[in-house]
Amino acid sequence: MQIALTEEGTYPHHFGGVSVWCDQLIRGMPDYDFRLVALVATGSEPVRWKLPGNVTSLVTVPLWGPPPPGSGPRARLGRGRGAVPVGDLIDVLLEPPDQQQDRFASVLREMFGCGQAGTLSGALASESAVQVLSDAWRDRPESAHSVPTLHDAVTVMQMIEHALRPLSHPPVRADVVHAVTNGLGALPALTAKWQYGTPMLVTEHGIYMREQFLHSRSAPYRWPVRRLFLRFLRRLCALGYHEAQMITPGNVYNKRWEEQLGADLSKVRTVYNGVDPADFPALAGEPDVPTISWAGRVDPVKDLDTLLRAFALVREQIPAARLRIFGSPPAGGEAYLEHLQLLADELGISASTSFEGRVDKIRDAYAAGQVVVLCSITEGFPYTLIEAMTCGRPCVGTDVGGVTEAIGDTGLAVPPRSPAGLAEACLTLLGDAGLRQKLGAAARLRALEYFTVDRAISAFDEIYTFLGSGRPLLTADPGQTPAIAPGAGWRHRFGGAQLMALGAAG
Amino acid sequence: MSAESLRDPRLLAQQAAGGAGPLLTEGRSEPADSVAALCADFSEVCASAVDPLEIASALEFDGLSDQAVADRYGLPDVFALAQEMFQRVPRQPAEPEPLSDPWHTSRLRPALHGLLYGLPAICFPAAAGLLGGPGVLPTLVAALLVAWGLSQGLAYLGYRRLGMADTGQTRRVLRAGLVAGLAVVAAAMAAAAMLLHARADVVIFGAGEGAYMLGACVLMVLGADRWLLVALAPGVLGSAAGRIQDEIRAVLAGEFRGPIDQVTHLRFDPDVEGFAPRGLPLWNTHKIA
Repeated sequence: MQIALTEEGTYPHHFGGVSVWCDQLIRGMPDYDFRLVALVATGSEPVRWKLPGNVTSLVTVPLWGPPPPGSGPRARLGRGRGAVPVGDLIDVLLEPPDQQQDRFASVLREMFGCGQAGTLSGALASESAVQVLSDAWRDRPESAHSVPTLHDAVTVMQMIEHALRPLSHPPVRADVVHAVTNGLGALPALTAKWQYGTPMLVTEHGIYMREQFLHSRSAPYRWPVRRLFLRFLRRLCALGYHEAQMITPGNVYNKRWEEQLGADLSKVRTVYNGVDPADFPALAGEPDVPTISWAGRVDPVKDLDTLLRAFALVREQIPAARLRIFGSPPAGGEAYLEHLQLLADELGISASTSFEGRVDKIRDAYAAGQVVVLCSITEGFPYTLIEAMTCGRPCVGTDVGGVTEAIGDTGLAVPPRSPAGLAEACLTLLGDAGLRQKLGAAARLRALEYFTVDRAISAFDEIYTFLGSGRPLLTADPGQTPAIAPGAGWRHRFGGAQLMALGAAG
Repeated sequence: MSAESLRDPRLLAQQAAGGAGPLLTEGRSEPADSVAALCADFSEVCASAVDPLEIASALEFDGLSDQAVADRYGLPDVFALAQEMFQRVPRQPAEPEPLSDPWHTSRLRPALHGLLYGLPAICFPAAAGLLGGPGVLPTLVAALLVAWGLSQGLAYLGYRRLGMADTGQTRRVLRAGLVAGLAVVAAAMAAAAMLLHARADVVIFGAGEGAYMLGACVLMVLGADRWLLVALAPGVLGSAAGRIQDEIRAVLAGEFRGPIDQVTHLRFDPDVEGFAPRGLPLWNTHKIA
């Protein structure tokens, strides 16, 4: 069976979590042939991954660089056969995002036709298109505080022209088309569905639209530009969810966002990311000294400040305790590490705190602690936790993103930015070897049950088979979501901090 | 923004007092007021938001979970809170930081360029002795046109590579272009020698002129214009030295007769009777006096 994987700026041109996932998926399914369609910036990016033997083709779709062939400036704008419906697109984008989504879908599908005829890019880049947008803006002013300029109109039309370039490329042929992201990366999947009726699947690791909202805040664009383009992306994501036969987020936390963006929850089936248990065998024993271990990228969103403050509180109770921090700051972020070292000095814990830098084997970082801590203020579905859990280490994590979903009842969850709460949870574990052992064993069981590569691969095997055969799907999560329901009877409060300790309660 | 609210003392104090505890225990603890405080913390985000979901993403990025929202603000989730904040805070979007001008260069550079374009003219007098015999002008014009055209093309190719931030490739293209360009100029000069019967020194001068233009093109694309001053120095200094030498020789031979002599006389001895300046006075002496 042929599977087309479509993605944007990840596999096989860049490293990162999504690329690892793609590589694991393809290598884990040798019976399937994979055709890759990768959205790239210019097309001159080198392929950084050694492609597995079952990758039968790689097509790159550059969003920048020269326009697609055949896109002259002479295309007709407006309605009717052969005309590019630029005015309709702009009209829809000026409507609130929860209205006229059907019209957006039909406009985009018409634009796909134009793209295949070679008239789309030229029309979107034309002066007339900019004129249409400026007129529409003038007729429907949106904010008295940020009046659009001609420059804004040119900018946003250029952005849309580049974003829609995948519509001008020939659609990929496969039995199933699997978009590994929503948004622009799903456009090649949409074209395959529209052209050949190929069943479509959308997987999201991080929510595309959420990341766009976050990134746009530091983008150098004026409000009218951001507003129109983000509305365009939001509608595009809604279209991706709508056209997909199935949506497979990497965790339940993402499902909330997908629902907000208009995804039909009956199509959603969570397929967790996983690690290879062979890489993380159970750790035998634990260090003699009471040690808290942390591993990751040393970055402000990881909120190591709170960890240091919490550790200072821990040391008041257990003077022999140690804190070992594994990982290095990203290039350009060294100032944060220096800030942390100063803070450790100020708190008087620098003698018992060590910044260890990068480790070759991440497992050593988990082995170094009796307890593994994750204290981020924002997370998706952190590999650190799943890995530590697979090793059988008890974890303390902040209640953000998919953290509680990963830990479930096998560790302790605390509110973010709460040194007191974090210290309390660490003290609970450091002071009770029996609890550590019990939670560690439960964590390993949970990870082996839910968060392994094999489990993800067999889930996709099943999904591909169903989609490829054209048979109706058993959608929704068929009773395999781990028990994480908030409000269950395992919620406890230790002092002021709110901890979740199912194992401890049971 | 999130970095500011990271250090929000209100939030920190609340955490120091036991995380979300105080608000957890009282679900009805005037949620409206706390939302107002949150709106103030996130005023910049809210005022510039294009969509309630943008505020939701910022709240989550700042560590707020659905559970915390329910506990502190009495709303079902982050999205409901974001919607509330979007409605409360009017849109007053901040203008983005102006972008740095990619075309901005120092003022010195254009001035240096102007100088560099003009200086070669000064070199010609130094070479005057070389430039005799038949076909001098057509030969030099041919060298100029061939080398100019080639260097414009080469500059285009070089800047294209440079635009992709690929300095290695830029250098390779320029090196190959320089060698190829020199070959074409040499061929053109050989043709001039044959067709116009130009003398060998004229042909060599023409080839040198072409080589200078191609080299100048390479150095300018690479931003190393300063070396051109060094390259031009011998010619310029030679010409200047020759010129000064000529002036001194002329003065010593008493041949220098310039209008300045006359002006000086008129200016300072206006009343000398019977003085008859050669040529026309530059202005009416009596009015000045």
